[in-house]
Order: sequence, then structure tokens, then C-alpha cells
Amino acid sequence: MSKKAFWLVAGLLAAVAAAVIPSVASNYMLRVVNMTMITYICVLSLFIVFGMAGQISFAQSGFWGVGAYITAILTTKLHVSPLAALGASAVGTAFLAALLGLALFRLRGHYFGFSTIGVVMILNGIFQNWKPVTGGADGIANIPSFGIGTFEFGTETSNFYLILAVVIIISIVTWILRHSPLGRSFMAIRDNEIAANCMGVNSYLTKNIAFALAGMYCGIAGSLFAFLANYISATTFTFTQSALYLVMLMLGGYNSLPGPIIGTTLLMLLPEWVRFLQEYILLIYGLGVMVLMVVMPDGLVGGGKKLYEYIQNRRRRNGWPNGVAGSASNDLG
Amino acid sequence: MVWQLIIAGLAMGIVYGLVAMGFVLIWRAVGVVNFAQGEFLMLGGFVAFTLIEMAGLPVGLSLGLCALIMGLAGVVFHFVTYWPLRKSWDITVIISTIGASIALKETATLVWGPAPLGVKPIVPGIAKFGSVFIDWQFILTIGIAALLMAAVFFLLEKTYLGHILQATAQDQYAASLIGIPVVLATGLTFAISALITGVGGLLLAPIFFVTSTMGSVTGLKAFAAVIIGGFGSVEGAIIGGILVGMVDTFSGAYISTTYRDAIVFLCLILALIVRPQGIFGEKISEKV
Amino acid sequence: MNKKWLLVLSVIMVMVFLVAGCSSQKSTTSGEQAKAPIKIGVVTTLTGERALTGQYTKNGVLMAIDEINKQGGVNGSKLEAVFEDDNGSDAGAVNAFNKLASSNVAVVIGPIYSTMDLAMSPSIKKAEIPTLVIGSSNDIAKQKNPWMFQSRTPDAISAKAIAKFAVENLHLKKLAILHDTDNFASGAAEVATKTLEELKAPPVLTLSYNTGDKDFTPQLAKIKASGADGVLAWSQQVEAGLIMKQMRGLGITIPLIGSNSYVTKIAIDLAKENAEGVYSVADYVTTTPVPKGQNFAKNYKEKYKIDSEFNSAMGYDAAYLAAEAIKKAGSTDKNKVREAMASIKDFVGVATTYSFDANNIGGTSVWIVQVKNGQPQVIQAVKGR
Repeated sequence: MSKKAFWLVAGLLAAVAAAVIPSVASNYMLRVVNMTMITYICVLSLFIVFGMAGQISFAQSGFWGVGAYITAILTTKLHVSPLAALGASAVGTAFLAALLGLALFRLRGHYFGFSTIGVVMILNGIFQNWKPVTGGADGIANIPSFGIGTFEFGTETSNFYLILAVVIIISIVTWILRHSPLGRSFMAIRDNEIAANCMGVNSYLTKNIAFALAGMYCGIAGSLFAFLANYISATTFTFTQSALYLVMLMLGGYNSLPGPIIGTTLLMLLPEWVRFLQEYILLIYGLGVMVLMVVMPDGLVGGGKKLYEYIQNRRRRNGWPNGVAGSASNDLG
Repeated sequence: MVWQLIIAGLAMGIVYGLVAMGFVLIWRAVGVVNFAQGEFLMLGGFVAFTLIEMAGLPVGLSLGLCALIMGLAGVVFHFVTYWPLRKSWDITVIISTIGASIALKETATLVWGPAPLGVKPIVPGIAKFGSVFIDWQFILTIGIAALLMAAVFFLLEKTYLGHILQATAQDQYAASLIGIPVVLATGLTFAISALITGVGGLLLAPIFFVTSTMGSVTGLKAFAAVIIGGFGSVEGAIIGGILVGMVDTFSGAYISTTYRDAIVFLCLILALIVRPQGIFGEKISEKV
Repeated sequence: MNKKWLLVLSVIMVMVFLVAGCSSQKSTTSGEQAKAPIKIGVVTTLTGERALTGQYTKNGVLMAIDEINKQGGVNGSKLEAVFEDDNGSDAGAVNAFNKLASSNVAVVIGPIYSTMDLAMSPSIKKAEIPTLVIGSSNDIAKQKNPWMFQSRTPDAISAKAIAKFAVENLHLKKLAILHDTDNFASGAAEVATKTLEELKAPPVLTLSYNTGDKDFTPQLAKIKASGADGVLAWSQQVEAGLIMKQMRGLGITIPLIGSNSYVTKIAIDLAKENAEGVYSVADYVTTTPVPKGQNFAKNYKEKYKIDSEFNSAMGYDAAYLAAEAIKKAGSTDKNKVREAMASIKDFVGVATTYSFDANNIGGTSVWIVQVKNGQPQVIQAVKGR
């Protein structure tokens, strides 16, 4: 199929889905979908900093919180317009991430990851206790909905379209990034940092860029969350939440774009389908993660690829007429 | 007041130290951070409740049985989270331990119920030294922790078995070449790690009550202790634990009671920046 | 090219999942007769760290529904409780509420954690379903949400009562305040501090801690060194037990007046002899002098084999209030039920007497309690309004 036709079909499918979902879904399910999309943006941030650049970070949920609080404070206390607040969240969180990165990327390998544990715990402590700014344990209530001009995104449905638009844009940006020289330098660092340095990649600077970009994603996600929920409190932005992002990324597959989509969707929607198992959900979740790591360490996408290649090999062995030359499956793209 | 704080800091430090020791053992053996280490503490506590309160067994027997059960738990844990993933990227093992941590917490809630449980102490009563008060149970815990640390040190440095464990920790492949059964060595290390932390849980159960979340924040702070003390050594874990206990207690008293957790983690970050290999350093050099 | 198809395939799969998942939830039974059971939704914590309080609330609600049904139900129909788990998080509570809102419930009972109630408020307003929350924060009424009702006596009354009792009855002048940093305890501590200042006995020391803390030596050592003559404390049950134990363990013998958690069986069992003499401002204790409450305590113990406490009492009363509102409205029409709920006056519950005021606050009184011989004994009733 030609490239144009391919994208046409894909675009049509997406359009159909977007039109269909809000009309068949209840308010409750729409909220779940909206939260899934917001979480997906955070998982995408981890995809950049960890999946592509190889730096494990537990700070993402903290950055999510920073974005949420920036928007909440600006809109409730300073009456800034929602659009400006969204921008401020994006830029502010990116800035914070860059600042932290400057200090922390001097640490190598797993040490950086450990420091991000410290970062999220400290951020959570600040959210929970800095009463004059973050409201402390009370959180911040009555956050207005997002709006452009006079149009207010007040309903679940309108939020769905808003968040979907952001998700599509960010996904496209990420896809472009992955195929760009910058993206390749991220992956070079992930695969072998010293070699990357030898080939002219300034790993310190590049890692910082990745971290700041990831921070920006989380900042945007946080802002959208504040507009959606109209109330935020510190208990949402925890280390456990960051660990969840990591699980979602690994579950779906850290190496390609479909991975975060699948991982996030599965882990956010599955608990809703099995609500009747209420007390056992978390247990099944924990066990499920363990089992999945053993069975499919490359995530579902990786497992899917393996399955695909297995089928291809079987076909080839059975003399399937279509092409004898081995498929050079490269891991890029 | 200062002396009371010192004693309290020391006592909490031993708590962190016992969990940190478990961390370090597993890290040294297989190079992986076990995010479920805190849950070993919790498990030890629940086992203590079952043996001492529910079954009414005498103290010495309970201690021994708990050690045995926790050792077995460690072995099972090893085969479920580490062994199948030993050839994969270490992140997968970390994820697996995260899953295990959740599963263990939920299992505990389902089996023992959500209510916090009290366990009667092995040594009841409060000891009074001047104006300083401390539970006798804490003094016992410190004593047993010291014994455990000495035992582990003796095992690793002075016995043949310990050398096998160390060899496997340094280089699994080379160890297998000279005929060391790697699975035995790693399994045993996990068992010892779970045993130490689990016995810690048993000793601390009367003091802090047993809940499914008793290991969570403690686990993370113990992790900070390991970083500060240095990932390479068991002594580092204990010293790091005591340091974290002191910082925790003193910053709570003199700086801010609410930010005390944040301050501990700030120290973690500072320690990483100033001296990433910790006070005692990492014995195994990082593979490039 | 294969990778692209993988992407498309995965996107399609995701869409299918979403739509399939969505449509299976949309089925709401529409237009039923009075003989079908009336559903009462309950948002409560069934999993995670706070599952204990959620379990108690669930028990209380179930017991109430059971009794009501035995007496013939409401308006000729039986009541049915539908529970949704909030996972102990604010976002989870919102999800749980939304799920219930699309399941045709007449009334929703909300969790005891005030931040969850606050998080649910926008959704409650949008869904326009009468919701009874059992959190005690003063912020709940501040939301001015006509569809959200606070049945529990708010901190404005109970925190004031605790301060007044300390100064006027126990004649304490130099009080230290110790509180959890969560929304409930912080808010209550603020109200108490203001009351103390009005009574010309400002607190000499205010210290806090985070839920889940195990060692309170820094706070207690400071209290000991400050020369305070009493301690006011707000905590959850485990921390209450630990604080009582550690306080007496450090040789601090000054009076302690705590929040309701301090006189629950769990806290008293954990602290053992260290709980003796501790005071508390409580919504409910098993030894309540209210006859309805005594019955409740007895029946609860018989049915569940464990002692009741305030979470279960709140759930029980909330269920009864919901039934009362539906009965008064004569139907499940949400506007009628809302109006009926707002008009409930002098309804005797097991914890307190409920009269909803202009701010939709229902609870009117609290008890001053002291632990004697390991049992909480009511020594005074405090009427808030």
C-alpha cells in the first residue's frame, strides 16, 4: 500500500474513533478515557527520557504535579487565562527539569535514577506541606476549566476532544523526534554513552534536553489534569505513580511508539473492566506485572514482534513463495 | 532532649539498617535494586503476629521459625522475580520487584485483614537511663541486629560459602566456569537478605504495630541509607541506616517535623552529588 | 512498512478496546417501577492502604440497609447498596462516583476522606445526584455545592469543642498541638488554634507529622521540653495508638485530648495501658449513651464479631439519612430527594442528631470521651448548634 493511502486509512480510523467514542461512552467511561490520555502523555515523557535516551527517571509524576500546581495556582490565585497557564506549565516544568538535570546528570547510569527517587519524594513533600502556595493537605479547589476566548471546555466530552488533540500533536512530535538526528543521539546515548561521546554527541547536554523535554510533556499533562479535575491535591503525585508509568512503558514496549499507547491503555482500562473483582484488582495487577516481565520482557509490542517474526519464519521454512531474502528487522523506527 | 533524640535516631537507624542490609546483599549478588525489600520487613511482622499472637508459640521458637520462613520466602522470591529474568535487562527485574511489592502488600491485606495488628514484645517495658527512655525491645533489636551484621560479615569474609557468594556476586559467568552453582549462590543470597529484614520485622512488630504499609516509606528511606552508606558493603548499609535515622530524627526536631522525609531525600541527592559511591564505596566497579 | 502496520494495528486494537469497554458500561436500566430496588451508591476504600476505614464504612451501610429492608424498605421498595472502590485516591473517588452516577443510583454516600470529597464535588455538581459525604473538613461546606451534603459534624464544631474542653474543663493553659498533615487534621488544628487564642490560651507549640510516620520522638521530645501542660492531637488510628504509646513511653504524663481515632478499639488495643486516661472528642463510641447507638454497637458486634467505631457509625447513619430523604420525597426523583434531604431536621442517628442547615451540614454534636479501664466512657455532650 502506498504511503499516502496508508496514512489516509489510519487518519480515517482515528477520525471514526474520535467521533464514536463520546457518543457511546458514559460520562464515567469518558473520564477514564481522559485520564488514560493524560497518563499516556506522562508515559510518553518516560519514553523519551528512558526508552530513547536510556535514563531511568522516577521523577515524572513529580513533574506532572508541578505542571498541575502551576496551572492551578495561576488560574485560581492570579486569574491568568487558561491558555497562558497551559503554556506556563509546559515551560515552567521544562525549566525545572532542565535545572535539576544540570545538577543530576553528572551522575552516571543508575545513580541518576536513584536521585530521581529523591526528587519525586521531595516534590511530594513540598506539595503536601507548603500550605501558602500549594494549599498543603487541602489541595487547590475550584480550578476553572480550560477555555479559549469565550469557549469553555467544561464537559467531559469537550475535554475529550481537547486532550485528544494534544495527544495527537504530542505523539506526532515524538514520532518526528524519534526519526530525527536529535532522537538518534538520544538512542546513541542509551546504547553506549561513551561511544556516543566519541562520535561527537555531547551526552551531558543531550541528556538534559531529553529530561527537559520529558518534563515539558509532564507539565502539559499536569495542566490538562488540573483543568479536567478542577481539584488537585498532593496525594496524586507520588513515587508509586511514577513507578506505574515505568510499568506501563515496559509493559507496552519501551522501544517503539505503539508501546506506550498499548501499555497505558491496558493498565488504565483493565481495572475498569474487572471492577467486579474489586478487592483483588491490585493483587492481580502486581502478579500480572511479574508474570508479564518473565513472559514478555520486551513488552507487548516486543512480544508481538516476536510472534510476527515467528510466523514469518514458519512461513519461510514452509516455502512460502513471497520473498526468500531474510527480513532485516532493524530496531530503529 | 538531645540524648533522647540520639537514642531515638539510633533506634530508627537500626530499623533502616536492617532493611538496607537486605538491599545491599541483593545488590551485591545480582546488581539489582529490590523495590520489595520493605515488604520483607512487613512480611516478617505478619509472620511474627501469626506465630506469637495467633499460634502462641514461645519466643525463641517464633524467632527461629520466622527466620526459616523468611529464608524460604526469599528463595521463592528469587525464583519468581530474579531467576527467569537473569539474562534480561536489569530494568525488567526492577519492574518485577515493583509488581511483587504491590502483590505482597495486597496479599497481606487479604490474608490478615486491613486492621493494624499488635504483637506482644519479647522484652516488655521501658528502660530508663537518666532522662532518656527507650523500649527494652529496641535494645534487644539493636543487639540482634549487631549479631546479624557480625554473622553476615563472618559468613561473607571468613567462610568458604561466603567466598562462593562473593565470587558469584563479582562475576556470575566466571563463577560458573569454576564450577560454582550460580543458582544456589544467588538463591542463598536472596534468602539471607529476606531473613535479615524479616527478622527485623519480627523484632519491630511490637514497637510499631504491623500494617501492610509498614515497609513502604521505610523501604525508600532505607534505600537512601544504602546510597549514603555505599552500595558495596554491609557495614555501609548499617552506617548509612544510622545516619539516615539521625538525620530523620534531628531534622524532625530542629528543622521541620513535616519536611523531615523530604530532608532525608535531599541528603540522598546531596550524597549522590558529592560522593556517589557512598561512604564505604562500591566494591564492584560499574561495568562500562 | 511492517512497523507501520504494527502501529496501525495497535491503534485499531486500542480503539476497539475503548469502544468495546465503553459500550459495555453504557447499559443503564431505564424507567423502572417502584418494585425494583432503590440503589444507594457508596464510594469507599476497599483496596490499598486505607482499606480498613472503607471496610468499616461498608459494614455500617450494609447493616443499615439490612435493617431498613427488614422493616419493609422505603416507599414500598427494597434498598440495595452498590459499592465502588476509590482505591484510596482522589482520582479513584471521582471515578467511583462517576461509575455510580451512570448506574441509576438515587443517592450516593461519599468517603470519609475529605480530600476525596472535595475532589468529587465538581462531578457531583455536574451529575446532580444528592450525595452524602462523611468527611469532616470545613472546606466541604465552603464548596457551596447544593448537591453535596455533609452528614458528619464538621471540624468547626468538634475542633472548637476540644479546645474549649481543654481550657474550661481541664484548666490547661499551655497546650501543645500535634497533628497529621492531612486535610482533616490540619483543618481541625487550625480551628482549635483559633479557639485557643480566643480563650486567651494560645498553643505554646504546634507540631505536625505525615501519615505513615512511625517514630514521633522528635515531636514528643520537643513537647516534653517545652513545658506544655496538655496536648491536643488529631490522627488516624494507627498513629493515634503509636502516639499514645510513645508519649507515655517517654515519660510524658500530661493530659492528651485527641480526635475520634484515639478512642477506637484499634488505637486502644495498640496502645494498651498507655491509652488510660486519654480524652477524645468523638463522633461515636461504643459506650454511647444514645439508646439507638447502644443498639447499633450491640448488633454490629454480633453481626461482624468486631467492635464498631466512628467510620461504621457514619456509614450507618448516612444510609439511614439517605433512606429518610427518599421516603420524604416519596420518589427517587433527584430534585425531590435533594430537597427532602435538605429539609431533614432532628433526625436521631447513632452518632449524633442530624439537622441540615443552609450549608448542607447535618451533624450537630460531638461527645467528650475519656478512656477508663480500657473502655471509652462518655463524660460530656457538646452541642454545636
